[in-house]
Amino acid sequence: MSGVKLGPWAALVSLGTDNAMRGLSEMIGQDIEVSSFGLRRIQVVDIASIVGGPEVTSIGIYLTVSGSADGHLMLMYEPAIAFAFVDLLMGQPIGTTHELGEMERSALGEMGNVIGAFFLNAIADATDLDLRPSPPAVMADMAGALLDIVTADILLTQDETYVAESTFSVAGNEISGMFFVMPSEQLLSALATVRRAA
Amino acid sequence: MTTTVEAVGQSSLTPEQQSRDGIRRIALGLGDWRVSNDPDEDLVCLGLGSCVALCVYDPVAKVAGMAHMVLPDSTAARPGSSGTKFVDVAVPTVMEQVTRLGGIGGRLRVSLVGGASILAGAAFSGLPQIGARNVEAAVAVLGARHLKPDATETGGTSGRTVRLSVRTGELRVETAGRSARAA
Repeated sequence: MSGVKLGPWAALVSLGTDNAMRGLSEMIGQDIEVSSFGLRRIQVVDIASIVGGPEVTSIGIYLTVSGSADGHLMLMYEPAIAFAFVDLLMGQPIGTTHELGEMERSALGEMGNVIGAFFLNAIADATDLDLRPSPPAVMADMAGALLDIVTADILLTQDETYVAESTFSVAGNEISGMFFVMPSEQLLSALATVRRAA
Repeated sequence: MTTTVEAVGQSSLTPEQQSRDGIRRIALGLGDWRVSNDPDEDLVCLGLGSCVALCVYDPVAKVAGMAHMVLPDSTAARPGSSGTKFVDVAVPTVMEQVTRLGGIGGRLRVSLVGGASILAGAAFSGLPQIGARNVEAAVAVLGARHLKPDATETGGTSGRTVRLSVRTGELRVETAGRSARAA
């Protein structure tokens, strides 16, 4: 993939993730402690296997990236985790939310807005690239169906992509989820150029 | 009886060993395909979104074929990226292998499943409608071979799982949150 090493890209994704957690912490008004963070480069065709298989029901928050280059951001959580986020965002006891209605979609969409903007701003600031998130889409479906949104587009130009997995604690509750960061070949090339110039 | 099974796929081709009534479920990943006359197999595509499953069955030869197709057109891909993730490559590949195992054109039941627009359900626009294009491409490639799908379960805004029984030709489609039904 453009000869880009995982190291520099991992540093940028880590920077972005830290900033996204900062944004989320501000949003819910509680401290967030990141307990683990990992970035993997994987074959696009194998992507569903890391979220438990293509048939597992998941809730996805999806944004596109535009500006200097294109890409995809997808946050994926098992429903119980996504519902816990809704409870945290709405200031109610965890375990209150049990379904994804309009209100819950709106809350998760706002979370996607904040995470997307904070994540991309950190990378944009570090690279001087212009990276803008789209409004988010919030969906509940089979994981494979959600991932098709991005895999079809990515497979046109590349066979591998990056997946960040983060585990963090909010108010004593450990939450883990997948953060798919799928830069286009164009974005990776732009980052490589910026970093060579730096 | 001599059983011949043809399977060419990519790394994600994973036989699922949980059997019901001794039936093995063979799950096809993105870009995988399989043609089989083993009556103890079900061919399965799990969690189809914009992807389309080509399902073919000859009820006399009891030969089944399935492909998990991701994109419509290999000519739009980058050089060196081809293969059966593309509709225009997968359809001829499966049809030829079905014929090799005794399938005959006039007897074939051909079905298409998938091609949803998950994002349309979330009122999100701006990305190309890959699902609809996959279905259109499959219908066109089949039409060029004088074949018309006699069952389709395509479009919409929900993901699907499809299972094809090699033993009976029964095709079952499941949607998230809804029970299985025959296509």
